[in-house]
Amino acid sequence: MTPTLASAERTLRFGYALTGLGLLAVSAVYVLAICFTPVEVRQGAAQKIFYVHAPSAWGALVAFALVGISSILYLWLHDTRLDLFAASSAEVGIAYSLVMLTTGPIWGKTVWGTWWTWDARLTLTLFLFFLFVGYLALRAALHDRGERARFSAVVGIMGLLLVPFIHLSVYLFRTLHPQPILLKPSSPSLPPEMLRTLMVGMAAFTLLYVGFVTVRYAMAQLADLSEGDADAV
Amino acid sequence: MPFETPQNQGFLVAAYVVAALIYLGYSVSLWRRSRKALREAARRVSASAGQPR
Repeated sequence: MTPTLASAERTLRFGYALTGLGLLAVSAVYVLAICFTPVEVRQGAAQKIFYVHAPSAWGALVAFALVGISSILYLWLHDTRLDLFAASSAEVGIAYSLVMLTTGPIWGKTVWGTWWTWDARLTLTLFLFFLFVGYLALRAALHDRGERARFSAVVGIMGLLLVPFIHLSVYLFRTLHPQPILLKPSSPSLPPEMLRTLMVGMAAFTLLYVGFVTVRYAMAQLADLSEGDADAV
Repeated sequence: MPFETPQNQGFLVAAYVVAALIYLGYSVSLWRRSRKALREAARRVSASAGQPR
């Protein structure tokens, strides 16, 4: 066993532990939201979708922003670890955005009366999702390591450019989507019990993101190791 | 007329179940793929270590 294989295995075990903790923390958020958070009078129980939808959206946007940042750093420093991290974060971001894009319409149906509307926030988010599906497809199609890293870094940076537009779209355009509750200049506009559940949710889903990315990164290291040996042979 | 809170628990259950399925499904997928990648890497490393230089 080479040190590289050993270190990738250590990273993998650490990722498993973090993912387990993250899943437990997300289960705790479910219990906290369902049993210990008051029902919003106007929207009913469906408003509690917020405690899964908003942290998933946060996780997706953080994941995609980190893909862009590590892609910029890769093009500058040519460090393979940055490329592997970008690929890992992109895949996890797709899982998070899939949750965001499915729970959002379920909540929207109850409050807006429609599953989907082509307003700026929703449409840009869907574009971002497809952009990163394309990012992974591009990576799968290219076999040369250098080309794969360079070309996908450019797509990752394009995704990063979309992230601030998505956050600001509710201010820039007329949209049905509510304005930010936390990430805004004034103080959070939620009662304390709801804010507490949201904050716990943010922490739990962030922990789960770190766990997923750690496992996915270790997996990428292992694949890289196999590829390297294959090249050597 | 007093405001009546809508009864829409079914939407809450649907959203929470969908989210749980996606996260659990992704966890299982990561676990399976990582075990496979680990086996493959170990096999490759031991094969290349056994080759004459």
